[in-house]
Amino acid sequence: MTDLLELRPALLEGSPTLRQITEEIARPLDARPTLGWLACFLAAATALGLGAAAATYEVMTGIGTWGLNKTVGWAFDITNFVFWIGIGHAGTLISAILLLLRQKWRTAISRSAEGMTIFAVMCAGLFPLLHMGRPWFAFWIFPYPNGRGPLWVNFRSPLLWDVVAISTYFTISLVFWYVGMIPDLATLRDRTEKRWKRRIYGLLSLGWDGSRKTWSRYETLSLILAGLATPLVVSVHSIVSMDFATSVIPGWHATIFPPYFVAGAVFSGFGMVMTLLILTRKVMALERYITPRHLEAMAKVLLLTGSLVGFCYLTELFIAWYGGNPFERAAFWNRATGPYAWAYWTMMTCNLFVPQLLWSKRVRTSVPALFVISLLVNVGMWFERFVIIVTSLHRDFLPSSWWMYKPTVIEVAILIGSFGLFFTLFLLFVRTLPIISMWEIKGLAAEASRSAAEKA
Amino acid sequence: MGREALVATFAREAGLLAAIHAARQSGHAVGEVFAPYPVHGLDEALDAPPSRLPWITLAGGMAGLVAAAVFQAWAAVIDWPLNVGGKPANSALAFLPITFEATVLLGGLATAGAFFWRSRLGPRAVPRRLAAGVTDDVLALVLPLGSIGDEEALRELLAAAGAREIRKEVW
Amino acid sequence: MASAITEIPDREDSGQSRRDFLKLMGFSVGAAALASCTPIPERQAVPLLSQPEGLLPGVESWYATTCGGCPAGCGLLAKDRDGRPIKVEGNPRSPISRGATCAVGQATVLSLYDDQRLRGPRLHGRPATWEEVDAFVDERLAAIAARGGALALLTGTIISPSSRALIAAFLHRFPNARHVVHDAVSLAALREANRRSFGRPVLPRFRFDRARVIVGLEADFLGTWLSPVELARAWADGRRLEKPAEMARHYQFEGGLSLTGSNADRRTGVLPSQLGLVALALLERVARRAGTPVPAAADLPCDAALLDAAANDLWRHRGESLVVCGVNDPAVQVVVNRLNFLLGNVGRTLDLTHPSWQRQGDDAAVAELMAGMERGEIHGLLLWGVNPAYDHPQAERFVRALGNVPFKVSFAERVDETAMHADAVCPDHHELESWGDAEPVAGALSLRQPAIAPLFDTRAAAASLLRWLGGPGDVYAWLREHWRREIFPRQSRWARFDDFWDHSLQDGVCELPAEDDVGEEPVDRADLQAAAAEILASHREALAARRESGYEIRFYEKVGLRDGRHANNPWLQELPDPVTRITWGNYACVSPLLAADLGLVEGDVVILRSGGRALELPVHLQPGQPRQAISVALGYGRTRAGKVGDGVGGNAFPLMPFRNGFVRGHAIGVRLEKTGRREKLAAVQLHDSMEGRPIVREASLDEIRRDPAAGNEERPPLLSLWEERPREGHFWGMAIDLNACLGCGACVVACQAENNVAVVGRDEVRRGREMHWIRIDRYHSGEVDEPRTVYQPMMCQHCGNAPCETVCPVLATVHSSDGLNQQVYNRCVGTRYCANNCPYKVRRFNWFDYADNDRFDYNMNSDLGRMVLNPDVVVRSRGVMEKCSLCVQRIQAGKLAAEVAGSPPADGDIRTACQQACPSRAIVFGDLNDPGSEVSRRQGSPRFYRLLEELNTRPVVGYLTRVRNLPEEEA
Repeated sequence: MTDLLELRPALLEGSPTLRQITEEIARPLDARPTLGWLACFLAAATALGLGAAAATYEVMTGIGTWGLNKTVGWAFDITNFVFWIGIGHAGTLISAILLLLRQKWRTAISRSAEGMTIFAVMCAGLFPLLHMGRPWFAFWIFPYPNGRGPLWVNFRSPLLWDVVAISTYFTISLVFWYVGMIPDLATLRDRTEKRWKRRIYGLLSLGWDGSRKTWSRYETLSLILAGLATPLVVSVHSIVSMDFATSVIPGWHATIFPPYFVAGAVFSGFGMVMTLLILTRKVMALERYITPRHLEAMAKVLLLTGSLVGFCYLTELFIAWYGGNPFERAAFWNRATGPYAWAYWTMMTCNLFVPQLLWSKRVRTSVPALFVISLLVNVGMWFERFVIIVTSLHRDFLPSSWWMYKPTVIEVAILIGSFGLFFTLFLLFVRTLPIISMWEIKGLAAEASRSAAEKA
Repeated sequence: MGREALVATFAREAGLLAAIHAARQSGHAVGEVFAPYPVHGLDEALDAPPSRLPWITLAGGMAGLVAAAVFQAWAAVIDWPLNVGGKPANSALAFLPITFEATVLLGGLATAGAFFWRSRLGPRAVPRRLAAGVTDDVLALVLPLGSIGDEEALRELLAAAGAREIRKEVW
Repeated sequence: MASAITEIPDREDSGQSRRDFLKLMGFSVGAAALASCTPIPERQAVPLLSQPEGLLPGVESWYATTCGGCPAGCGLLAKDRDGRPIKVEGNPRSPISRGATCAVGQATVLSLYDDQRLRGPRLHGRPATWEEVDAFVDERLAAIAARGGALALLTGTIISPSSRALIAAFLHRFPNARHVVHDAVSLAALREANRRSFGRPVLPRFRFDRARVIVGLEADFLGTWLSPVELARAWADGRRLEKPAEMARHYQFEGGLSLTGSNADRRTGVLPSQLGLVALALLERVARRAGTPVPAAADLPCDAALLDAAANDLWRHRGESLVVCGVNDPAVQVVVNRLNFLLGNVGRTLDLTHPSWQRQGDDAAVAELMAGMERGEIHGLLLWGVNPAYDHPQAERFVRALGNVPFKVSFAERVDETAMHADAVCPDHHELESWGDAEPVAGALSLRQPAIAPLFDTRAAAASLLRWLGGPGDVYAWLREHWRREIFPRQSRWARFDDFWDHSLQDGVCELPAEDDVGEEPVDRADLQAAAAEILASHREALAARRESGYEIRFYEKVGLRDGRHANNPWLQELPDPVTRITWGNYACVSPLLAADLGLVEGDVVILRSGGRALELPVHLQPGQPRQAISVALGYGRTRAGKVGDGVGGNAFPLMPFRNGFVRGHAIGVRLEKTGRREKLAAVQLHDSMEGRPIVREASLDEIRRDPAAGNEERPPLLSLWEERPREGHFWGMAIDLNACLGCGACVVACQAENNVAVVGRDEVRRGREMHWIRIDRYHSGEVDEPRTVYQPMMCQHCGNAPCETVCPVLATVHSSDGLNQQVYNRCVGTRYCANNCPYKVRRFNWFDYADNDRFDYNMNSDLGRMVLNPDVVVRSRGVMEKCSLCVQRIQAGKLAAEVAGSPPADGDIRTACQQACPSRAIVFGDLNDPGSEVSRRQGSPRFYRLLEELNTRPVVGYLTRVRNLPEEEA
């Protein structure tokens, strides 16, 4: 790693001993929860409860409790679904693709990013379930032998591709995350005093003893999983985009969608990682490990992907005009000037214009600025999905069916609930598991000292 | 395998590597190395063969690919062909995404499974504890005492390499 | 096989439909037992299509009867399943309905199961037995007769000869009694005018099919006026584009955009008060050509060129033209009579020798009766089929007057606004429970026989009268006797009365030969000067009123609710008005231009003040509405109709003025005040423009003559990535002639009845969640004040390459081998992906449980209401998608019948509910693999096109271009 010297001071402040690393990262897990944490957890849990109540009411009463109608059959439900799936992409991207690219700066943030992925995908998975008219028959979308023929499922339906892609993505991400934690779990097992904690960590660490053979297999496994996760992460959002791309609805029926969605996913994912890390490093006092250098690196990714997304928006507009399909033109004209124009311009502002600020180093290195921008990115990406889904549906081919969509409190509550679920899980995660990969940091530290020795 | 061995612990990987080098120079086999992180260049120092896990991945992936492709085709073409959107019963293109996902899924799970199995990792597995702190900040080297091996020489060799403590253990 | 899937009762979760079905079987078996034990249908009724021996469970039987929805007297066939009528259809042998029905007719079967109907007689506001009621009535009648007191029998139009005979008998028995007829919307002026002009106080029979040029003044004869089904069919027949491409030309002058006007070739809006001037202006022009002097009209109410064009056309087609006027003012009607007379239409397109009895209301007589009641000169009042306390312009006055009548009996089937004041309420049967006959048009008779034994302890009004006349009260005997004495002799076909009776009963109708005593051709002897003077006078009056910034209100009926007697029928409440596409309630239609001036937007609630009365209504911006005229629908604002109809909209009857003996269809000097409140209208369509998309394709007749494919040039090349699937056996398809479709909505209700389509109510319609499987899209184009309107029935297009099928993850919608796009309810998990991906947006989702759910307290929420459900169609459960199935149950039944018969189903054997009901024969369904079939012929026409063809969805449903026969100077 030629850039290691240049990176070292930024990636790891001071040169902590291996013991220090263990201590500083593992300490929060033994300490009593801070007030800050408790406050956040309370808020998150309340939001989750609210969402759960709303969802229960909806399932008991009917989809009619939402603002949908004969013309707009999807809105908040699928918007939230795509939004969370998008969030779920940064984790794997950071840990897999950056691993393959040997980007050392990922080590400090990969664990939390992967955790975020898992939780985001869990939130995402809720919505396809909830949006069904008869969720209690959700299992019908799996091709299991049944008494109806057996009648299998429709392998031509993008919705089915979705289900398979997302469950695959979830499984692989979970394995990747867990495998990555085993050595650290062993560390916790060996240092914790409480017996019950030791029992739990003992079970989870699967008898890890850090022998050389295991380590070398372990690194191969990580590389392989990374290698698998990389095409996976690309395929998942491409497939999600096919829900729309393969349809006939103007504004959906677009071949640009797969790359467009992947770029968007990475963009939103990094936005969310940024938000979380800026919070976490404060709340958990990990400034030493999550440094401005990390944030700046992510800011650069934001700038890149944001510009990619913006480029897709403009391409869409151009093709709508250049393609000369009257329905297509009407659809995009309606997006920019119709009743939902406010949503469209919110999206444009947050996703295309705001990230351009990141060209300035001053912005990239100002933590508060980055925090605000990351929040705006999340907002913008949510609206991107809303714009794609609702404004395309509400005015399609036959003007006789043109209609408007307005969300109900139930829908809003369920959206809030999904955030509640996400943060509840994340907060539990930071309290119970090492959110920074100790063994990787140790490796990094060792490497640093080694190359220091070589220099001397 | 109840044989006796010397267990030396190190604070820095430089010492460990030096000790391994010296030991192998003097014809001693290296039993095992325990470390809190993957030590860079250890495999090379022991010229250990590369892992064969990638082959498992390939096998699992292939299995997933074939299974998915065949099942979709069978269900949609042979078992119960239906006219869906006027498309042909064998809409092969539409079957690709699921086939791909199945490939990745089985490839990944097979590899992980194989890893756990080969490394004897599991909820019931008991870690070998030859030296304390190998999951924290200690690197441990295990040198089995061969019949010809004379213990003193080894101890000196290890001490020279900067071992913190040297104990005799049974493993 | 696939279609069999749709037939399975919902196994997984529709305990729903199964449980309902069992309950309903339970109830209906009860009813069936009644129906079969009680001798009525068994011994005396003769099913048309199936042999009379008993009921086969699960096998339908058909009874020929007569519609009671309005006095038009359409012949009907009632479809019975397990002893209960579940559907009515037009009787093909009926000269009135000719096999079709209107929306109201379709909905009458639901009124039968209205749980707000009285379960038995009431005396002094309390339930009573018939004995008590009879005792009470007998005693009172005797008392009144004893001291020569005055009795009055106030009825609606009665087209039943036997009932008229019965009333005659009643009047004979009580010499001091009189019979007064009240129509909520009366055509009294037309009858009066015919008396003045031709000395015959009758309604003529209009023969639109013989007319090459039609000029309509206000009369909404395609939607609500006189006899819509009969007239619509005739009108459409005159416009069929068979070779040579010929069709009648239709001008319409009206005070607001009516269904008829929106279908006219050239329609113009005229202030209601100026329709008389239009008549005069036309007369002036025609008379000039005829060379007879007539009084000149004052100022022109509309574009002179248009009047000239109309007059030219009329004159050029003397004897095969027709001017029809709906203004309830004899002066105007007299002028129109003269027009038709000068044009030589009398006796040709205007038949006075076979008059129509479909409206007999006499406004003056009713007013006189009211005066008598006020003076306390009426000692007994029998109310039969009328509800003046609701639908008379002076309802309060009528109610007050009722107070002076010591003895009041009502035959109302519910305690309505009038019956609540009656001493005794003797609930009449529903028409599907009763015996009767009808002669809507002289010589065209039809019979009514019960399709089910009375559900409740009700009694035919005729039976009550018979009983009070001292007879046994056997309506059947009276009816049969009447036919033996009066009808049988008038026919020559049958020698024995029993044969005549049985066949008439089986056919449901019998046409009598025209009487010979036609007499000489009627001559117009009306005093035109007087009429013209009257018209000009009222014109000046209206002018003055407008000068004081007054507006005019035009009162009209909606095709669904008509005069409001069916207000408690949820199917009709939820039927969108064809022109405004609004359900559940009425509103003030104002011109968008006026709205702009007043700063009104859709839904703003305004107060209309007229003649000391006020009405609060939301505003609807209606293109084509004359600037100073506001259209308000009658029939709403019921207070005693029942849980469905009460409080829906506002009652406009009280605003109708009563002028020298006639209830006017318009009010002048109306004030409009804003309230600042806003109320969302329950519209099913929010966007009126086609946005320049080739959705409804149009051409003028001249263009069509030059090129039959005119207006239909867009023919995108269709490629396929794979080879087409073979089309073996049957391949069902549909072709809808947009030139025939009126948009009347009969198909919508027919589909609802046939397919158990749920009613969702006002709020859900506001949310855009109506469930109708077939809708009639309406688009406006052109100027705001002179819009061109088109209608397009829209149901599942059954695409060959169906976008919905591809995206369903669970194979809940797949394609059948015979070309149907099938929805498998019990497989659906409700992702709604199919609906999103449907370019035609015809799929409907069950947002809630619409059956057995108190939130939707309509017919599917009570055992009684559920009796109307069609057992061949599953009741869909919450969370599943549904849509038009092309009546797959009828297709299956037809194929089965064909198999039994051993011959393939002939073209027309299998007909969808919408096709069957269509009065103008716009919809044709059939086998596309049969080159001889009507549908194949239509789909082969150069006018045929498939909607959104460029998407390559390959629908089997398609449309034929709309053609306008524009006046020369515009063509």
